Amino acid sequence: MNQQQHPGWGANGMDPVAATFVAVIDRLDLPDVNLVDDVLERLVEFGVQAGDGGRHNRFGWGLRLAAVVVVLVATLTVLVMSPVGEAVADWLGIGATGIVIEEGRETGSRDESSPSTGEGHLGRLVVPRPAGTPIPSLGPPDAVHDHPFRGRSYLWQHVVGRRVVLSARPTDSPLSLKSLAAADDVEFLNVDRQPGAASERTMVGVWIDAPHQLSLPVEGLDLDLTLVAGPVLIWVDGKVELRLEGANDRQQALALAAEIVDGTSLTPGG
Amino acid sequence: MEPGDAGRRRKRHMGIPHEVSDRELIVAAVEGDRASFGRLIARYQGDALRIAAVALGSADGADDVAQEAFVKIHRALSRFDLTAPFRPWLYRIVVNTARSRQRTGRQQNNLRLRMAATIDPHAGDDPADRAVELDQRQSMVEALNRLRPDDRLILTYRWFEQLSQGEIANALGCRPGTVKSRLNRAMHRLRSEMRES
Repeated sequence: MNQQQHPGWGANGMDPVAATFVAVIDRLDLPDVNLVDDVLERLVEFGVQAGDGGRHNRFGWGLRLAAVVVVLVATLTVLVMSPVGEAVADWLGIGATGIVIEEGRETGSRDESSPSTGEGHLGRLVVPRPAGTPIPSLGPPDAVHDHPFRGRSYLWQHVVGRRVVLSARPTDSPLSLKSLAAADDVEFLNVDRQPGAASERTMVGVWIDAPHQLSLPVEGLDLDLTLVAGPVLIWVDGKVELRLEGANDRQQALALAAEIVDGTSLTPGG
Repeated sequence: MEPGDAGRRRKRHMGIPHEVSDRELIVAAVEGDRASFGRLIARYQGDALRIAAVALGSADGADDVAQEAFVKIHRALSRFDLTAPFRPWLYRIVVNTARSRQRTGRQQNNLRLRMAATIDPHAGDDPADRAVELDQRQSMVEALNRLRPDDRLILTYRWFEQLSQGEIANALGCRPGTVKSRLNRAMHRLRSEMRES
């Protein structure tokens, strides 16, 4: 290595500031831990093999197999519809949403992300607000939209500090595509209902922690094809895909989702 | 560069050639050998902790970030390009994990980087020289704590880890052509902060 080609080195070696920097970094007060056992224990606990690619996959083989079927369908569909091509490095999927992990993609900025409802897109219809509310703690929604592709969206303005959007659409809707950076958090998890709800079954969900690009690759519709979506919880209730955006964090998203008694009644035809 | 080749690493790595290359450990881990992955963790946990601390701006939580990053790495190992060096990939995942924790509020930002309170074996015998050196280092710590995380990272990659321009680009997820200008800006900002300390 020719050190003189790089900033920080002069003809007489590393400059004093660089040398001091190195000395300080070398002597940072770091945790005195051995990570080997902790990491291997977590891998055993999750029962995964290297390269599973499922991020925080907390499910058994049955659920994983179901996910693989969804992913295969999504993959075949999206490969035809999307220009992502060879950049695709990993696939996940849930409901009518394909999740693409792309090497080289930069993690999105939270500042430029926002809950998406199809607003501004051709085909959005404002529908009368329902008498009740799907999420009791948020109160009645401020608006309800129907969109031919995004399904029905319920909007609450700034009730938890941000705008919250709950969307519902059938799982056989046209596929949407979420593109994430390789190292972003995608966590498969269980979405539970509150005790006493009409159905107490646990539902399968995905929490995407990072802002990401949302693509709506549908031919024939004049849609704005890409936008930056914020962190989102997606889960499947029966044959309905539910998406919750705008929660402050994963825990809040799960708590709000748990309040929904019957997600299958929230779609336009529900 | 062969993964695991210690040739360009700092002196703490030099002279200690890895018996088994990173590539061999990764291949074995992908085939299900957890012990090999354990060796990979042992080899890089110090680096991962350091980069996590630099990214977070605090040693607090660095162990959680490093642990989470290694779990992510294990799950993504089959996608790792065996012709590429391992460290930039590791660092990128560590930094993204650290940023993710900060975004989700799981990381407190009120703690700061600090030097270990141990005797420096490299310090000179002259008390005056040692005092000057300690003063410079304390100024550096203060400057580092005011520096943007991206500036701390790129300087660490270049000066401490001695990554090449391409490796830094890989670790930062940016184009190689932008590394030098980013590095120069970071150096300029560090010197400015040092002058204010």
